[in-house]
Amino acid sequence: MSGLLLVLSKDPYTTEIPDLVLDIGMDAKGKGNDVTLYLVEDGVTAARKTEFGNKLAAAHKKGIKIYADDKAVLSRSLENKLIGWVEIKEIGTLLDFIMDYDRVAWF
Amino acid sequence: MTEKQLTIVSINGPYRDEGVFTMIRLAHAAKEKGITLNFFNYLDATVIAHRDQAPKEFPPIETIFGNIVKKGLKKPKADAIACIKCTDARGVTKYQTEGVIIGGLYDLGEWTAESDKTILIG
Repeated sequence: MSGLLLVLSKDPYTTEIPDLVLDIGMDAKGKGNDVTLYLVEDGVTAARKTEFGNKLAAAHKKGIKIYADDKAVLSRSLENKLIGWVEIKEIGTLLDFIMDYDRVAWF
Repeated sequence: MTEKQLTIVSINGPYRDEGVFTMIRLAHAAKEKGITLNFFNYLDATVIAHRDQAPKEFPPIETIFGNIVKKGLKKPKADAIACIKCTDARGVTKYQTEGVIIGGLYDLGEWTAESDKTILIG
């Protein structure tokens, strides 16, 4: 088992990349890997209480951990508008994950 | 103990999205944690360090980026290379901010081999 960190910086309603990232994460998780999704920049909008947010909630139930960048959340005034399982973290946490995970992919 | 080393490859130019700012924030965090940084500015990202930027509504990226590279003169180091084919194509080879070296993909290959982790922001 290896650790996969997926960093998402794109909004789910302007590009299909977030769907692709979620597919990759779910597939990797299904194969027994430790998967973390880290939302940065416009990627934090993926965790709003919307249809895509529901997909993230389902991914979380499958064991994918989800984090969001604090500045990206605050600058979009999304503190209280995200699905429940998203942990808001500062940039140092992302850096620690980048250095510690076996594989990192930035989208 | 050997210092950890992170190589950040950027491919997008400044002011189009938050990518460069995210890179800078990661760089500050890396400095605090004692991680050596390598910036490889590739494709449109070679404009990041272009001198004399004067945006009206944003902080000048060149200054922010240049400060990180200059602070990298001390440990932990922060080096920056701009891809020569990319800078030549954009006419910015002679206008890179202080501390940025003109190099190529072989340099990126070496950094990738030396680094604990290499990420591409784009």
